[in-house]
Parts: sequence; structure tokens; C-alpha cells
Amino acid sequence: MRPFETQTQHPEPMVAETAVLLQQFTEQFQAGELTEAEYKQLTYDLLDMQRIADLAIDLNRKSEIAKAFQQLLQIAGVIGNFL
Amino acid sequence: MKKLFAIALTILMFSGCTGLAPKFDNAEYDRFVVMLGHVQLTVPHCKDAGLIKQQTQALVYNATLMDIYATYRPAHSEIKEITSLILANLTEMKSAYESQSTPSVAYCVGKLKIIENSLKKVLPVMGDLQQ
Repeated sequence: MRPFETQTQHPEPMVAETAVLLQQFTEQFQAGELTEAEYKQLTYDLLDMQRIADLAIDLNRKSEIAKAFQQLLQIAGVIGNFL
Repeated sequence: MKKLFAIALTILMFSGCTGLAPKFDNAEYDRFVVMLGHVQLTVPHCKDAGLIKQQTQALVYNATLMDIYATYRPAHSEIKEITSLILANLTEMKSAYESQSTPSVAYCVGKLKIIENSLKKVLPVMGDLQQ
């Protein structure tokens, strides 16, 4: 049984990536290659990975807004003739 | 008044909209690159628990430096939170290798893979920040 199979095809890459890793960890746990504690820890680590991805998106958004804002000021500068 | 506004606008523009713009930082970016490289070079050795025990100590050392840098640089709260999460995950791994039972190979690979994937999400954003 592959409980995460459907989600591995999810259109959102982060969800698909998490599902692939969870599928892998689950199979390893069921095969006895991961202990229960290790399986649990790795599962929780995926939440941290998700959080880091969100933080990277936030940082990127801030950067893009700042770039756009700078461009707007430049245009205003050209129009107002103070550049 | 108009002249004052123009001066203020120009200063704001050339300062990269100071408060708004996340800035590229060579040292910070380099630390993340070193960490990613270290993680990638460590994964193939996961079968060697003795070596991994040593490597987790070195990884925690590097992650600590990353976290200290992010703490004292008046920068972005996002980077600080990212370095804290990476440090916490690596410290957890180090503790696992210092415990009496040797962690499994799958644990080592999984743990490092998650950190590698996390770093790969941050690096393109950091590399694209304005100078």
C-alpha cells in the first residue's frame, strides 16, 4: 500500500515533495529500516522544511516588492526631473 | 518643498529603500553554500556511523556560526528563523549519534536530505537579493 501516492502528484511542488519523502520514510519504517522514534522525528522535520520554504517565499516577496518600489521611484524621478 | 521631497526620494532610492529591501550579504550566502556542500558530501557516508558522528559535530559547528551571524546582523527575521531551524535539526541529529544506540542509515540519509532540500529553497532567494 502506498498511502501518499496521490499526493506525490500534487500540483503544488512542496506538497508533492513532502509526499515523496513521507512515502519513502513510511516504507523504510514498515521495512524496519527506521525505528519508530526516527520515523517520528523525520516526519516532524518535514514541518520544519515546510516552514523554511515559507520563510524563503516571504523573503523573496519582500525583495520583489522592494525592487518594484525602487523602479516606481526611478520613474517618478525621471518624470519629476530630479535624477 | 518640492526640492526637499526630491532629495528625500533620491536618498531613499539609492539606499535601496533601506527598511524594505532585503540585502545580499556575501558572508551569509557563503555560509549557506558551505553548509549545503557539507551536507551533500556527507550523505554518501551515512553507512559509516563513526564518520557521521564526527561530521554531525562539524555540521553543528557550521550551523552555529550561521546562526550567530544571522543573530547579530540587523537583517531579516526570516534568515534568523531559518538558521535556528537548521541548527536545531542538526543538533538533534548530533544528539542521536551521541546516544548509546547507533542511528540507522535511513535516518542519516533522511535527516540530511531534508536539510539539503531546505537549503536549496533558501539559496536561490538569497542569491537573488540586491547588492
